[in-house]
Amino acid sequence: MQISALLPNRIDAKISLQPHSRFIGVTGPSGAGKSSLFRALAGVEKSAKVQTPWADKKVGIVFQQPMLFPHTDVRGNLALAQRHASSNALSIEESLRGCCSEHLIDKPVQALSGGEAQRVAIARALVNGPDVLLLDESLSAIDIFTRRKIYQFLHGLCVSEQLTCFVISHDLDDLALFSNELIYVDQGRTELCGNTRDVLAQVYEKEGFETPSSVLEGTQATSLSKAQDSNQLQNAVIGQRYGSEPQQGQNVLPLRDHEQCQTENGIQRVTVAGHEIFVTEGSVSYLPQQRGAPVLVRFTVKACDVSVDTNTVEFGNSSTSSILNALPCVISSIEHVSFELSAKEGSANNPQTGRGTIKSAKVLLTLNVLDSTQTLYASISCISLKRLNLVEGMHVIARFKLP
Amino acid sequence: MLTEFFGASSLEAILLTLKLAFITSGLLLLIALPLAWFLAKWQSKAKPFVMSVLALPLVLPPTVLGFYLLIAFSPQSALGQGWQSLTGSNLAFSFEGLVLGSVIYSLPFALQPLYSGFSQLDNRYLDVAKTLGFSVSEAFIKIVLPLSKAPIVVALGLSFAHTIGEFGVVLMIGGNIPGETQVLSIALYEQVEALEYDNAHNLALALLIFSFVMLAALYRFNGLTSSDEAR
Repeated sequence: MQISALLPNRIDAKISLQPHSRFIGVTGPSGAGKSSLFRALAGVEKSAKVQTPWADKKVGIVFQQPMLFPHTDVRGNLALAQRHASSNALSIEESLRGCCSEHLIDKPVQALSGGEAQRVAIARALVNGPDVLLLDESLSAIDIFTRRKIYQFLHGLCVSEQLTCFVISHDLDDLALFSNELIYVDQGRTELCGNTRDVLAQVYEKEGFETPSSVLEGTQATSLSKAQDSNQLQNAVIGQRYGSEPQQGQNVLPLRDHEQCQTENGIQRVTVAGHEIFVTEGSVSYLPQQRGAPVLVRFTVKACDVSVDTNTVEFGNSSTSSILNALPCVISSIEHVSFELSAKEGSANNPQTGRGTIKSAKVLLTLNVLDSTQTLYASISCISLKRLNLVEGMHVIARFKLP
Repeated sequence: MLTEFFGASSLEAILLTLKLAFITSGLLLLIALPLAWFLAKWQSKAKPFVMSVLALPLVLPPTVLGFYLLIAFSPQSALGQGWQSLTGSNLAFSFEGLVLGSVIYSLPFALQPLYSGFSQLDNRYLDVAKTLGFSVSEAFIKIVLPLSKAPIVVALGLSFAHTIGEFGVVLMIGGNIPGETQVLSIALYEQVEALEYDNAHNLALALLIFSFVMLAALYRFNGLTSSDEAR
């Protein structure tokens, strides 16, 4: 999918996307030209020269300001959008349900909060049945739980090939979770474009994030017994790998009844590189899959939620720690996080240049998950780094709480 | 009762004035709506000059405008001649001439509120409407007009009230023909000239109360709609 947009002195974007990409994240600093790019793509920027593969398709746009027509209520807004709806458009009920807004249907527009108005604006766009939907920070005022639900709904429409979504957001976790591909825009140009995980890694590097999030993918586990087997198997694998015996019964406790209850109560199990990982239902996205194949799931883990354990023997040690998840990894890099001082602060640090950097108390570890190409970030203190004598190439267990 | 209060000739003038005001404000709305929309979207170096010409009746002495209109309406001018060949009657000193003069004289009062209303309208409403599949005219009728309710009412109210209060232009182009061109302000002028102070008092008071009520209603409406939008 080739897209180009040219707006004199503002935008010169050339975007190349995989044909199967349906949910595309767009990020970049404020004032980078993301909104202008979307306006150009939506065809509402007169002076823009745009080439898209959707010339004869319906393109919808939702701005950060919901722009609900204030002379009518929510129902009236949706009815106006339905006047020229395409044949495959969602019904008013379906759209409102997907955007968690069924209870708002009879409300006047003026009575809606910022987040509610944003939800209705997205529902209004969906009622019109666009083939391509451009969301310009359209979920910025919505609380994280509802936002994730709406993203999941939109992502579901994308996976079932009813919709292609381009989403501008500054929340990289949201984009990491749902995007097939990610575009980074700066100074009106597409600086980075490609696979979400690769672009994300480059963005973190570029922006110097202290606590980036890692994107993990796995298959949805189906039965509880498998989880127990797998936990025991993991212990055996690690034990063998490092020349020690698995300590069954001592370190690996079978899941009890209440834990089984939890798996049905909003907690899912995902197999990542052969290991069982627990995640909350709201924190995952489902990837497109072949019929009959295992359900592919994606979730993100914040670097600050990951701790490193050098005791690789007691892999499945769930009896003495509340941290549920563990993955065997190799440290691939250790970076001291530093940040630039302002000129004023820097003059004390470096009187000659008036600029300076200061090392943070934290280091960022990049961990390669064993038996996979996946990467985890861990943000730990300098003290832990010294105390545990962590070095590149070292085998460790990355432990993280339920995402 | 009204005949007793105002006098028969005054009542005739009141009815004529109301007729003139209704026709003028109706016509003005039809003219000013597309004109204001066009001007709000128009980007040109000539715009300030065009805006100035359209706003001239605001500052020009009514007699100046009335004088030029009288010249333009005379059978010697192209407009007067054209009108005469079309209708067989004279445009000057006729009700039709009065309507035309009023429309020109009150144009800025209808145009300005609409122009500022349309200029302040967030273009993104139209962008959304466009992506929802609305044509330009459909978006204007379904989105722009309902969103511009307040400026439309103000434009209607101001042009109506201003037409009621006209004097100079009407005197110049309409003269003082009872039942044809003698409007309220001229009837009042005539009553004062004829020293009929009782009738003049009644008429002046009625005009004063009408003007006050009209303006109060407009301000009240504007206040209500702006607090609605702010909510």
